[in-house]
Amino acid sequence: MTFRSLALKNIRVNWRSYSAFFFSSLFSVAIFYIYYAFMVHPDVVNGQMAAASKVTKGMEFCLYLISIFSVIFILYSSSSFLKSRKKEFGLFSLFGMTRRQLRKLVFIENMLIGLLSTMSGIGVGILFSKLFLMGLGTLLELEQHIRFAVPVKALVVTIILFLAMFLVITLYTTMRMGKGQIIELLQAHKQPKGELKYSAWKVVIGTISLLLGYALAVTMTIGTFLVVALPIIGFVVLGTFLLYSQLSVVTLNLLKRRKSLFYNKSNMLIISQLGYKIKDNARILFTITILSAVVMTAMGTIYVMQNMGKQEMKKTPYALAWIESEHTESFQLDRNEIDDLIKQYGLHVSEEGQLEGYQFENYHFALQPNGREYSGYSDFIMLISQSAYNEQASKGKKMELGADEAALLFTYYDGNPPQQGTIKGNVGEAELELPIVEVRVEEIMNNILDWNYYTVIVSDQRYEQITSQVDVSNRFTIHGIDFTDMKKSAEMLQEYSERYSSDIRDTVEFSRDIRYFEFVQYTSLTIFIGIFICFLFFIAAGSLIYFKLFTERDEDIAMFQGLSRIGITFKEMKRVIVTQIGIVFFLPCAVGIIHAFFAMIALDNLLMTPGWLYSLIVFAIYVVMQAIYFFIASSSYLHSIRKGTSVA
Amino acid sequence: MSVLKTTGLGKVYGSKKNVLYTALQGVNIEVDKGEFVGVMGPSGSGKTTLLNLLSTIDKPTSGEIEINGINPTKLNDHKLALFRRRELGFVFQDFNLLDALSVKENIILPLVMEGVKPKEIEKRLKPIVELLQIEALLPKRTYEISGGQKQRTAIARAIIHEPSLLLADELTGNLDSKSAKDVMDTLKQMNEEMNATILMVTHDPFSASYCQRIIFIKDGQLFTEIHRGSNRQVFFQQILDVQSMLGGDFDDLSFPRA
Repeated sequence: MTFRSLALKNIRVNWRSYSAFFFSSLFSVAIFYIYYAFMVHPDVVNGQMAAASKVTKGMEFCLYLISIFSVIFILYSSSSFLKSRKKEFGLFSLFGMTRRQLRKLVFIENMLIGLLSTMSGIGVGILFSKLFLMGLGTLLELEQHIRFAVPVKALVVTIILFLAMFLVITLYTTMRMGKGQIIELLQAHKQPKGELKYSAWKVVIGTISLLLGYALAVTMTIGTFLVVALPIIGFVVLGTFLLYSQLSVVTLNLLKRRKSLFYNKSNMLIISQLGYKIKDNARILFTITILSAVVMTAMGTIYVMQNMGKQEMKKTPYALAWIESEHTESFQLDRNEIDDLIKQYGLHVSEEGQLEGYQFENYHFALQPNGREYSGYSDFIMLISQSAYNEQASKGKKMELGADEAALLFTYYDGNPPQQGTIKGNVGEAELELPIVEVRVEEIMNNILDWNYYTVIVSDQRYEQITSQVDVSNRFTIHGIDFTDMKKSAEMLQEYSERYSSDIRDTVEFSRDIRYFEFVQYTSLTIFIGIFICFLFFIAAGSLIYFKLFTERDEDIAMFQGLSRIGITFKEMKRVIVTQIGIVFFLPCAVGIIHAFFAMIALDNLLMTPGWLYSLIVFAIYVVMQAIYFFIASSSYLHSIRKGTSVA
Repeated sequence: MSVLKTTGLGKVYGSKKNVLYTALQGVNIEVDKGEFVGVMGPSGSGKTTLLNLLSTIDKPTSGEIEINGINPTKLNDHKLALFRRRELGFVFQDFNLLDALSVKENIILPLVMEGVKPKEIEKRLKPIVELLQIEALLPKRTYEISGGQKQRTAIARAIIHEPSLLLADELTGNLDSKSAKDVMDTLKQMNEEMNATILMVTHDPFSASYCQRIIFIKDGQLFTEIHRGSNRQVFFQQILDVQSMLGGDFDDLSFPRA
């Protein structure tokens, strides 16, 4: 029997323990290939995909992220795989295999698996890259499908990179192994562990640093973002780590002291087991918490940003709005031209509206209690009647003004505006000075900068009174029109604008749908890559748990065999196992949600929007996915334990 | 009153090629309450098979078992597990203690799993611990104590729920002679002071000499039975005599069963 055949035989016989390592390597390779093949895809490189060229930097960054992830993931799987085989290595040494030979054996085995998983990973990658491109195409609403291609560059880079990676990782692990005594290898799983000791100091430091991180996150503003962002991450990571390694001990000790709980059937086994494996558990819980928090924060951020962007655009009521005025020399839109275009593009008008008002000149208003004063941003602002407002303001409450009262509309205000103040100015010859009784932040009509940046509302009575004195040249009407299909309307408006110089923008406003489609294109790719990366992390988190379970499998089987002999039922063992797996799956999930929640609050502070509600959806999805993963993992583990435990 | 009764107990193993191997055949044993019975026999005589059948972790191919009036072969897996932990106590050669639990937790495990109240648990723990003199060990972990201490812990666990029958399997096999003597003294004490019914499988004549009665089996069948008089030394000699008569290999250690 040669060395190579021994290695081969090892792989064949121990396929179960090798398979986890193999599949996680395969997964890394496939992911890397799919992503890289997309990056160097001819259509993408040649700029056929407009959205891709805009986020090139971001995509490169993600490539590095995936590479780093692959290294860590493979390193972890390989080391946990070797750990599970310590006893076997101990036996080999015992029978006289030298350290050198042992290293050689592991080297051959690992490289074989590396080679195999690289090749099959690329195969799987090629298979799934079309699916990836199709998903991308649908998401970006691309007209043309991205062609299926197998870029040679992607093949070569993936093969070289991963073979090199396997070589380095294998060399590294073989260098590290075989340092211990044979007896330690043979009794790897019997070594005493799990003394429930903690240091009060570390608990205090952990709690403080976590709270500090949260507090900083909640109080963060745009101004302090750059300064506190890194410390927040540092504090939270440190806090999480100490929480798991120290506070878990405190908790378990407390649980143990409560006899009515501890001495209640399988609780004793569960709590003791948790304590016994505390070191491994703390490490894995910490890692998974951080991964979960990253995934949820990233997804939450993307989701919130996207929703905010869409919401922001939905505030603009019409796709197209224009000024009609007898007085102005500026561009006047020709309705017939628009109607022709509408026909040409096969569009339908879904809504039309207009708002009539007067130029309110020399305006000056002061708001109480903050005392801010506004004047002279533009030549005039818009004065409208209460009924004109009520007609346009479809949502929200109607306005009821007294004869000598005025209300003010802001299109944008940072925070909640004060509700009181005074306004003065003139409409033509008519002087006006009125108390402001209400301020609203609302766009009832598209904002055409020099015309209606602010809108003043007065009672119908007062409006009649003013306008009866004033020349009609001061009057103007803003027309608004909306279409059924945002995408087509964007194309149409684009064509319309190209017919004229940019001067038309002084009296015509049509940016909403165009902005919307740029936004969708831009964010969709970010979202897609974001989801891709998050999915990667999610799988990684799950795999870590899976590895942990199967590393402990033999130990668990031995224990349950012993327990079964003294009459512990399988149902009770099931409870012990499932509870433990459940903790590993859901505790990090819960803590990760708390972390991500604070991150979302910080994001709200940055964007000055209440967006965290949206993130709840992301959290919910994550919990559901984690639950599915949990059911799969626990049932397959139970099955494996049951098979191993079946007595005599 | 008999606690254990087997009638015509037999076990036949079938191998892959359908070659049958008869491990046990027509074994009739009866153990009364408060008895301390040993089972001896050369390697391959069927000791272990007998014990597996009695511990209900294996099913007989023929014959009946009755423990405390219940026939365990008629129970399903779940009920069988409950039966084991209520009616039987086990002491194994490899101790079978959980590393995750402290000595005390290991001992009270059967009571805890049964849902006995914490106060009651403490109450029942006390006399046993005193009798076995392992009070000082209670807070320790299993890897901190010696083999003899482990076995006494295991005995405490096997007896704490007051089982109808205590089954011991080569319980001194992993111990040095001093510890073995301590453990056997303990077992005898259990038998005499707590009136525990014990069935012990062993190959070791010294351990066996503590029993009141020894059943010898050979080639899966009952061979003979000897009773102890008042003198243990004499009984020990008798055991050796039967062994030499039986022939076969008594010296090998049976492997600890995983």
